[in-house]
Amino acid sequence: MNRTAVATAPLAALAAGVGFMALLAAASPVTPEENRAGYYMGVAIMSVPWAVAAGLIWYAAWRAGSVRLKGLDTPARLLAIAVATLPAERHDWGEAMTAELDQVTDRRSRWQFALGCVRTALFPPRGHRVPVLVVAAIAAALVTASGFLAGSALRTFAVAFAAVVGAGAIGVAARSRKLHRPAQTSLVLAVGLAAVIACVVIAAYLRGKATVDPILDVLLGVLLAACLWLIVAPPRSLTSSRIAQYAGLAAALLLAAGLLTAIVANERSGEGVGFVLLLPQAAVYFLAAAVTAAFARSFSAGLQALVWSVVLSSLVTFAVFIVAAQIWYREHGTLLLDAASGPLGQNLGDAVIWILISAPLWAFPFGIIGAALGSARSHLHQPLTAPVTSR
Amino acid sequence: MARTRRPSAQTVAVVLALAEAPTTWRYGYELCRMLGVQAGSMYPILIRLADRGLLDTAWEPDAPVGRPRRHLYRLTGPGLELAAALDASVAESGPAISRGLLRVRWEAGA
Repeated sequence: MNRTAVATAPLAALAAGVGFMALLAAASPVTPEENRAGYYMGVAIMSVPWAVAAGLIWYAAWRAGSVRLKGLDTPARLLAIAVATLPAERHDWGEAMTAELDQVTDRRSRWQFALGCVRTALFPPRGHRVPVLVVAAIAAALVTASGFLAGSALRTFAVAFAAVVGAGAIGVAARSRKLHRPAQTSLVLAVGLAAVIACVVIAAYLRGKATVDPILDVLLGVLLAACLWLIVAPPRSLTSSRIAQYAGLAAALLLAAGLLTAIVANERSGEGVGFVLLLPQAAVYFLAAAVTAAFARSFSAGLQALVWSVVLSSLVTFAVFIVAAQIWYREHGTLLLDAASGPLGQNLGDAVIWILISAPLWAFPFGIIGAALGSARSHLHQPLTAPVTSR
Repeated sequence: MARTRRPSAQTVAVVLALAEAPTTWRYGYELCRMLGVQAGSMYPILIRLADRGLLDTAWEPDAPVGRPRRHLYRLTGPGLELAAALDASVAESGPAISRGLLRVRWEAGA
């Protein structure tokens, strides 16, 4: 057992628990009519999963770091961490610099050499400057065009979406020398892309017909663009397990099917879907992460399954919810979430708040706990990312 | 593809140093010591030269036990052509440019 990891994990758990409590309290403050003790008890109980998950992540990350960096002095550790951030096509250079540092024996020279290599690893040469400038120009044009061409109702959403997509494109162009075929499986890429496109089209359609808070417009644009980037250009640490990607896909389809079933089941009574948007997520994320971690005997694979589950299920259930909400509104004249009366656009706000923000935030720690339990036999010290010197 | 922009003095130094013994494989730290160039400048230069097809790279075939294999470098055909052009340019420009170049000190740091 790593004593430092064990000793510091409770602190990480406490910090995460308090942080989540503060978030809950800010999002839903106590009202004068509420029993304060009961309110704070409820908030504290809801924060327990995050506290446990943060403690587990901290412990696993500490153990992984101590295993991977064991026996290295500080310059070598710094270089190992920096080299781990290199894009895939620069891996050989990271390995080359690491091998050279091994031969530098003088302490001062080691520091000098390592710091130079760290700088190179963190800011590798781009090879060609023009593509970055071209991408930046296209991104700027895209944002500007979004502002001008989108109608006033869609403008905020369109600009936020285009800005995040453009920023991601600039980042990819700046870090990578050439475009690569995405490392994720074709099925995940296809489903993810289709889901993003569906979400954007449906949201834009509904947004054009209804009034929504501008902050929600920004959140919607940013979150959909972030999902798009995770699907199109995921970090290396998310693509090492194919099982994890399929588990995420299965979780997404299961949750979408569950939501549809709940909507159909509530059709006669006219009751909204309510907690169907929250409770199954926790169970499904837990299962996807636990099964993947157990099958792959890896905590890291379980976490990958969790992230893919969250990304894909958020997109798919968002699209299903929005389409169903329109049909529901036409038939019942109420909102799909809680069958309350309200404007049609409120469905979009509900979907952003509950499906894209609250559900992932609430259910994410259950997935972490699932990954930890699933990999319990193979222990938590499995590396969280690809080995530093893998070729 | 050869670059059209004028290479930096350090890049010129690296290219000319590698051209001194075109068949010899060199490694990064060796080049750093010989030219007095820091790793933070040397590796970006090597990476750019390799990206442009001017530098051959290879892993050391037989590393001694206990030591990781080194990444080795030497100029390609186009790299040697660039070196010849740079050499001629330096010779034409005379001392003004020569003074700006870093000096190769193979024997000093070997």
